[in-house]
Amino acid sequence: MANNQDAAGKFRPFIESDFKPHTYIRSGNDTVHYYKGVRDMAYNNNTLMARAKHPIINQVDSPQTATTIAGTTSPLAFAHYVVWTPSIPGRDTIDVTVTATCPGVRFQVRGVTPAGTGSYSAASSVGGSTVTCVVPVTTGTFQAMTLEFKLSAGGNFLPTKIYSVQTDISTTDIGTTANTRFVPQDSTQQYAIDQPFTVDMVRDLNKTNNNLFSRNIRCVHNWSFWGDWTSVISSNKGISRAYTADTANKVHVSQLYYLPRPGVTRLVVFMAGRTHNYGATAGESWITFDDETFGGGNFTTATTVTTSGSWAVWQSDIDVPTGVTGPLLLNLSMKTPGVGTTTCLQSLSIWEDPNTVKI
Amino acid sequence: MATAYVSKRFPVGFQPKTEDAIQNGSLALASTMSAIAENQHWLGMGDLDLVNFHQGLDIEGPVGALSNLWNGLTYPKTLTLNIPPFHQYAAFHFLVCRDYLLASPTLSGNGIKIECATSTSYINNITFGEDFASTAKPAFDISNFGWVHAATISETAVTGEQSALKLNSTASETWTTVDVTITLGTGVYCLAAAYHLLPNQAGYTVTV
Repeated sequence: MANNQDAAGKFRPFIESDFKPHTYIRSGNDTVHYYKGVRDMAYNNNTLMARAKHPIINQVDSPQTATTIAGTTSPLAFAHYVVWTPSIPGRDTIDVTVTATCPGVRFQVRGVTPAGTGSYSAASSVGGSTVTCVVPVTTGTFQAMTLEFKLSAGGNFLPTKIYSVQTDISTTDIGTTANTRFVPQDSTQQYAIDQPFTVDMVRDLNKTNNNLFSRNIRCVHNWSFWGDWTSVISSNKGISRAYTADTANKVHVSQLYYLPRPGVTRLVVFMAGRTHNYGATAGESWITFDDETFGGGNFTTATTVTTSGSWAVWQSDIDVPTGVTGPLLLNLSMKTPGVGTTTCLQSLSIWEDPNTVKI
Repeated sequence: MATAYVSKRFPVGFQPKTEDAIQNGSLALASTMSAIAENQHWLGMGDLDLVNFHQGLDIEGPVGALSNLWNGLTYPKTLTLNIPPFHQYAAFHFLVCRDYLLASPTLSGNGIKIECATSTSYINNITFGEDFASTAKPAFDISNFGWVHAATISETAVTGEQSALKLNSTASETWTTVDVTITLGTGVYCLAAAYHLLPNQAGYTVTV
């Protein structure tokens, strides 16, 4: 049993009278005056391990711009994302919530990752609603996730929102496991009033802090074209760019908004899609990083589609400019120099790199 | 009741302590404990989301059409925000364009409406745009798109033009979700959109 405040995972903020110099360090929590003691810090340690999270996917679309997907009672892949979660003990699943309409029928969704195939969600209401499935993930590693749906009978499926976060676990369960990065505070008497606290206890608190800071990074953008994925990857769908005679210049397609999180020095970009190439020259897609604050930096990463007609995932890194306090704009640009070529971007995931966060 | 405060270190926030500072034989310094407590505070309340939640499809491509962009004729979008304990505000950013054929975007006089159960914000300063009906130039030129924002926090004006959206009237002690619905006015086309949670302002206090 962990030494928790409660199963709801309430967080105890810092109070200005906490741990002032030349004052005693309080061991237990003060339930009268609410001054923080080390026991409160143990509560918070476990609460952070059980509840702190950032969205993994948060994509919305509207019915008039999304693609209606014909479905049956068999599973059909309709979206592709890259996901990542910190390796907090016990938090090895993610919740994926899908909102969709499906006239006259019910739908269910599930997710497939290298860690396994998750169970189907409960069935939606007839006509569609919001459902949640639980998807297994391997923590501490970037991995692809494909979402599948099936219908209660033949019909159409129209997703409008996909939202995903790491699954919460009970703060009373977090104390049962540990790893090299996160150590729960797990003795009911460890921080009781008049009990000594040890260097190891303080060190464990610090370890959780440092690892949450470096590992609980944010997903800047997780976008997937929504459609019958078997068909998507063999057709020119998504963010597409046909051949342009001006082969020297990229075409600016879109832009993303970014505010650097403290400590983050690099972004990891995963792009998936295809090029449809009738000629001999491969298509290319580019993504560049412009620093609006300082009038335009030049942090460019190029990714090239090399195989005609194939679908692939490419990974690139982009360094985050240092000393930036304002917003950065991430320009998405494409270039398609091959005659008859079309380049299609069908999935785009941009993550802060957990392996280069400066502590 | 006591009052918690928002660290003046925000948004820099996190101040790591190396393990070297916490060795056997070292003194149990109140300052060390204070630093750990403050870092917990930042991890729980100051490590805020930044999410790009909408990406328009290329309207020039093989599946392209102007209607592929999120626009005032499409249905409102509802997204879910995950907000940390004692948190209240979110800023929204839109990469938009306005059709100059229309005298002004029409959404009760406003260009973009952002609402949740607690408050409503508007953006009506969309000055970017082009004549989508003109055949004299391409139907789509990203240079005519620009970012507009609803990001201002006011202690008194919860609902208003370009205000950050107030998500909670009563701050929660735990992580919660809030649904936000966004509607575009007629003639407004959105290519991309993002939100980020705003740190609580200096002087903002919570009762614990």
